[in-house]
Amino acid sequence: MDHHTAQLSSYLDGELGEQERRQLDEHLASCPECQAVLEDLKLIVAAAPHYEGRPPGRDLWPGIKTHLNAGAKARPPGGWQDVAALVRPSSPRPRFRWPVLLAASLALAAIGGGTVWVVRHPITPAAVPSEPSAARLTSFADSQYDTAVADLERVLEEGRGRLDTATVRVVDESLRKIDAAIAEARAAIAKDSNNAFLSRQVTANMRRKLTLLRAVAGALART
Amino acid sequence: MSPLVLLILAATAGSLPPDTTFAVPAGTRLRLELMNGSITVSAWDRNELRVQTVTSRRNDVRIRRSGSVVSIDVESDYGMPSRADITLTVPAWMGLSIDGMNTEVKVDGVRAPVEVETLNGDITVNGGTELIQLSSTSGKVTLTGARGRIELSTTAQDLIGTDLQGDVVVEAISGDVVLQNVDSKSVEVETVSGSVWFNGIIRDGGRYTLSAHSGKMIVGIPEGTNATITTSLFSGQVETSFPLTTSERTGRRSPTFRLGNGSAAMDLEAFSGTINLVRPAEFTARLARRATPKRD
Repeated sequence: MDHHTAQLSSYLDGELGEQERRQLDEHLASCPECQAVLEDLKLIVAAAPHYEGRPPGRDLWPGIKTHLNAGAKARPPGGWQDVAALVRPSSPRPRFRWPVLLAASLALAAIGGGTVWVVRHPITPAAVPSEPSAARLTSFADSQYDTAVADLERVLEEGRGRLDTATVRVVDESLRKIDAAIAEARAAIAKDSNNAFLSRQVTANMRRKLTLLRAVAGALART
Repeated sequence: MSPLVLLILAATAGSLPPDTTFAVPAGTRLRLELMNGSITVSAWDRNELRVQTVTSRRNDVRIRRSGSVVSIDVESDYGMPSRADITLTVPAWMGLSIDGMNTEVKVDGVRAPVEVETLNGDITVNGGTELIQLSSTSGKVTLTGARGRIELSTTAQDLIGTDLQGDVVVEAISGDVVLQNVDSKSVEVETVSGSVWFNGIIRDGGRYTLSAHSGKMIVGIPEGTNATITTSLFSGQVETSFPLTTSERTGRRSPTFRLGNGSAAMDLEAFSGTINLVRPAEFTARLARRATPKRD
């Protein structure tokens, strides 16, 4: 998240000073990324008018990013390991595009998760460990991640009637396959707890599940 | 750009006639959102944008200009917009950003960044440079002749990439990933239950990471390749259809092979699937068989 993007939420709320607002207006005129973010923030405001953007009781993201990063082996710059890059528009490889991220945040905010918090409080890349310890590799019990997934699953459940039936079928089937892959890898870890490959399998599929749920939640936010 | 100029540009917004053409200055990007319908884009060598629409009278097709971005949206005062079919002819240099819900997208001949995301609907792109990002949740993704950084994803449908140059990142869940004629020093492919087909030049110093959970993997290894092939397996296995005469093989479950001077790094991961290392000719033959009803 860059300086301008971080200001957008305050911009919409009318919280910027005149000079800051003028500078952001000028930036917006030439930055399609920020324009897109602003449009999606407007969607959020329109769909959740009473949401006050308060900090959540629990900040889900540290747990999510830790686990999504844990187990990721060293890759070239821009690889999986830097989950924080997901929320930086300048990322060479944004795994979630901003509209999806924000729309998913809307979905969570609307049901009380308060994940719009991430818009105001960017993840600090430096806080993300690039190489997890062996101990962390085999620990996947994270209530924060589970809560985030559960919230998004609830959004899907409540909104599935607004989606094309074929899409719902594909999403359900894909989630089943991801869950099965996670379960298989976890079972394998029980037999071979020091196998980093198996840990990578689990974390990759956890990330995949979150990505898919976010994409669907984002689509639902647009309907 | 000042707020005043922004206001003036906003004032030019309006409903679009069914067939309209207007000039666009070099460097303009196009942003298009469509909930339901199809988008077909072709390129020409004029600095003009032609927009042809077929849609219900209840929909408004609106265009807005803001800075260097032209945005086209289909809106309705009656709730969710109904189907619209939009045909665009754009300058070949025009970068595209397309978002769709139930939307089929075809792009041909653009020599610029192309970004397409749909929930349901196939994406077919021929061309694209610099950054090509195609993502469909439940549609098929097909990319041909792209040059640049290439990022592709889908879930249940196949993902086909042919004649690609540049860094490639691909993610699928149950769909097969088929990459042919790839010239890249950096390739990442991940799928859960789909198969991975990869055939291309293995560049010295390159890094190729292919991962499938339960799907099989077929990798074309050209003669003369210099690569260290590291495999990670649980219950899966490695099969090779050619003798690895210059290789060293370490470990039973997850063997490592060294080809030539071992310069490129190939990391192949399969939890329960089979990794097949084949020569390009065999890859092509197997792929041809895959196209028949009885899948390989």
